[in-house]
Amino acid sequence: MFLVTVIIFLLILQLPAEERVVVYLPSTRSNLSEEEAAKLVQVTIERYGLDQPPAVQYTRWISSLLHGDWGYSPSWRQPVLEGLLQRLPATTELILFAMIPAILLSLALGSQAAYRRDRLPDYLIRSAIFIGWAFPSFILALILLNVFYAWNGWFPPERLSIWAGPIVRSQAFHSYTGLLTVDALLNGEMRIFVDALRHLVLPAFTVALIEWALLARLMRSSLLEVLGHDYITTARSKGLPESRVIRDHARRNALLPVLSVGGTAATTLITTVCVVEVVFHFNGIGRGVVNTFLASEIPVTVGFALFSCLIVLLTSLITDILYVFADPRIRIESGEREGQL
Amino acid sequence: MSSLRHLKRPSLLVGSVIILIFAAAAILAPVLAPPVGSDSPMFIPRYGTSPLPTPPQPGLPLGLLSFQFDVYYGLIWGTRAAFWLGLSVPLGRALLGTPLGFLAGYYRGPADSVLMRLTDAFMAFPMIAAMVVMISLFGFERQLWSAGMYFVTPSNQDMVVILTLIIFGWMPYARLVRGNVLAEREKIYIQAARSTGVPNLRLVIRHLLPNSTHGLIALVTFDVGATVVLVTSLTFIGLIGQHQGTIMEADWGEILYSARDWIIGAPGHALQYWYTFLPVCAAIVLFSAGWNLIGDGLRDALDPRYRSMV
Repeated sequence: MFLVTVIIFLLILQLPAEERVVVYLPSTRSNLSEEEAAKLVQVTIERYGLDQPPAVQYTRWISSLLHGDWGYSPSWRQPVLEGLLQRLPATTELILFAMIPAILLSLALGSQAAYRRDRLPDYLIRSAIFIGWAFPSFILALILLNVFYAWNGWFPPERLSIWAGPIVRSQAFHSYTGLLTVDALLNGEMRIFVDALRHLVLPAFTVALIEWALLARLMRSSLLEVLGHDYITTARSKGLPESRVIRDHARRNALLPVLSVGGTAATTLITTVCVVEVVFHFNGIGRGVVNTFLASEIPVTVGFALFSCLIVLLTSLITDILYVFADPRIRIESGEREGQL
Repeated sequence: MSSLRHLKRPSLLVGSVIILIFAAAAILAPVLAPPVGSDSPMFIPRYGTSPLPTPPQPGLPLGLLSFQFDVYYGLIWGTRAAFWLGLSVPLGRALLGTPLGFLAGYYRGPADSVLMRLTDAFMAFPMIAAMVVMISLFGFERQLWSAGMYFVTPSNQDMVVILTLIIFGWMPYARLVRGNVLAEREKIYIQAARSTGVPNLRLVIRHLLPNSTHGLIALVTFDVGATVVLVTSLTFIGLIGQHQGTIMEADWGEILYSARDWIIGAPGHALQYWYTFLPVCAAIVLFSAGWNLIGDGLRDALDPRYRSMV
């Protein structure tokens, strides 16, 4: 994380101080003459120390970040951190509804495909994988939008229908988690729950199909590789039923490569989610950031980058921990391995 | 060993055919869609000012976009843009990542660990976050207005996009080469060469480097499709590009961006304006699928470790 902030900071430093000032200047229009404006710029540069050595500026920047001061966004009309956190639940909801089925189904179907190699289930699963793998997320989203919204109107875009908005924003509706489906259930509002779910189906399906294809492909090839090992032959020759061979011997070892690649897939997931949010007008972080973009607001973009890097690093931490659970060898050999690498 | 033998692999064959068709379209663009007027041929000609798209008719095979830009012309000349972008980015990444990975694998020790930490840091950036930061920092020109405000105009974004894709995308190449070098340097032929007194530089250039590049070609091939898809999707959602309205570059993403208000037709006629987006979508899908198939086939054919897997 430290290195990440350094990289971002070095990038920011490439801009001359005269342009970086824009972050601190008031956005209200005031009638200044040209000299007055130039003077204002100079004063602001001095006040915020933008002409000081990089190390000083860096510590100043980091400490303001740690104090929660991520800058202000004129087009959101709120501080950046607050804006990001406010949009976070929608994105979280989308990711949860997409990734939980995607992960479970990819592991299950990927191993089914490997187990029944070159038979009907394998071909079906492989063609589904091919679709998720060849179609870019936004084209998939457009196709789904045309079929399920324009043709028969089953699953509309955006996050809620127009009639549902006032109910959710009213005093009677308590926001516990910010996740609309969960909140609706806690409030006992079945109509809102169904509505939120209807709006979630298409974006979640788009994200899920793409991530599912990636993971299922990995799971299939990794399980196929494991099944070729000698210890599988040994297990089979002992007379173990095939289901136990897969469950006890193969699956766990096949999971390891999937875990290590799945951790790095978090970065592509964020890009996909942002694109999908924009296409479906789903009001999460991605759409918020893209919408401010024409105004080129540096605090927002930098805040978004920091935020998403944080998420990626947390994900990789989690996969590392899961890795330890999945692979007992790491616990024993960790010291030794450090030395080798 | 005959390399044509590998064309029997269906994925390699299908992929190559698709990409060859695209390449032909790119090369023959002046014949297939003769430029109109004296402007640079990379700009799409327009035949009017009406915001309503015009359906296909004789002489206009794929109709006109909103503001009467020629879809067919944009599709054909956009192939050139796609190849240019798709080839320059992976090559740039390979040129940056290969030496870094090689140095790390060859010297090991501190150089290696520094580089690996750096790789991890860059890997933490989702491409969209990197792109957003880079463009907002460098893709705009800021001029101080007399009112004490800054006036912001987009400038040389194409360059920034390509640089971002390279700067935040070299890590897989460095990792691949580093891993290869670590494995190769311990092999007997290197020790044999060393023991016969081959000088270090020669050892590296003649023996170690060529043997450490396997897998690179497949990686480059995968990256071509992925790059074009990423850039068109970012253009489509409006992150990249000029979007001036009066002129339009022949670029698939730009066409989709201008089609985004016409994707869902009038009630009851869902696909009324299909010509504004379906041909371009098909081109993008085929282009990326073609490169992916080639990459898949190449990896199967060239890398024995993967052969058992698919």
